[in-house]
Amino acid sequence: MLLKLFALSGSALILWIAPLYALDKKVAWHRAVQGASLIAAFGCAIEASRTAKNLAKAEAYENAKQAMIIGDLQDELAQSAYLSEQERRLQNQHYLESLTNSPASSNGSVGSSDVERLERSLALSSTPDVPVERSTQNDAVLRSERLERIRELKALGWSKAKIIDHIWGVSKGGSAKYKSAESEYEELLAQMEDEA
Amino acid sequence: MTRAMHLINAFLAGCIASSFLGWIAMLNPIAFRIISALLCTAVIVWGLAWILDDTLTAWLKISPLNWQAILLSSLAMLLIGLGVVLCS
Repeated sequence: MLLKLFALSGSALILWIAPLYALDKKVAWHRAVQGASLIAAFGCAIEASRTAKNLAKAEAYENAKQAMIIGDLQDELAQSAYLSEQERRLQNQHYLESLTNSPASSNGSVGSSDVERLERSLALSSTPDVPVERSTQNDAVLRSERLERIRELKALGWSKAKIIDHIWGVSKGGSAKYKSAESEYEELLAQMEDEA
Repeated sequence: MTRAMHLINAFLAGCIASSFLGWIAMLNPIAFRIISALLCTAVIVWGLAWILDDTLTAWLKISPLNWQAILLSSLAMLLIGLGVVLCS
């Protein structure tokens, strides 16, 4: 496809320039050839432009698809991390309950230090309401979702202000919220260009 | 790169189209007059497009920067196309 594109562009350029300079305008059939070659050159350029546009569209679609897959994957990872943490917490709780309710504990064969250690580990695994790790993962997911949405909206030809309004829910103006949304938008745009 | 190629080829098509107009103008005096009238109209429309850019960008729903780029590139296409014919 790229080869076709280059061939069409090259032939458009040659058909445009060469006959005008090589042929004489005073000879009737030379003039006719010049006209025909100009028409052919125009056709080649239009076809090349159309082909390039289709290729660009296909590329944008592939990029969006890739971003969607990555976003899904990140979402899945974040979800599995959250679930495994919940599971671990439940297991610890069950184990602790079984230890404290077991006849061995009432006999005093299970050391109080073991129970304390388990309680401490349970507290450590469950105390923070929003663990830093999870919040970072959620941020990454949110960023990738926004990036993907921006890519889609830009492909639809939306303006910057409209995209910010749609994604962040702030309309154009001098507010701090808009400025922060704008700077994040610029960051995401730069990242998108880097990826491209 | 493909997007750049798309824009370059569209520009090339514009240049070729204006060369074709120039070539038609060279065929005989009547064609020359018709093409001259067309060019004069185009220049007036171009000037009006610069003056009324706010209204037109709102109507066409494109950014002013894009609109100015379109106007400048159309002028460049016309000049290059006619220049190629006149210099040949």
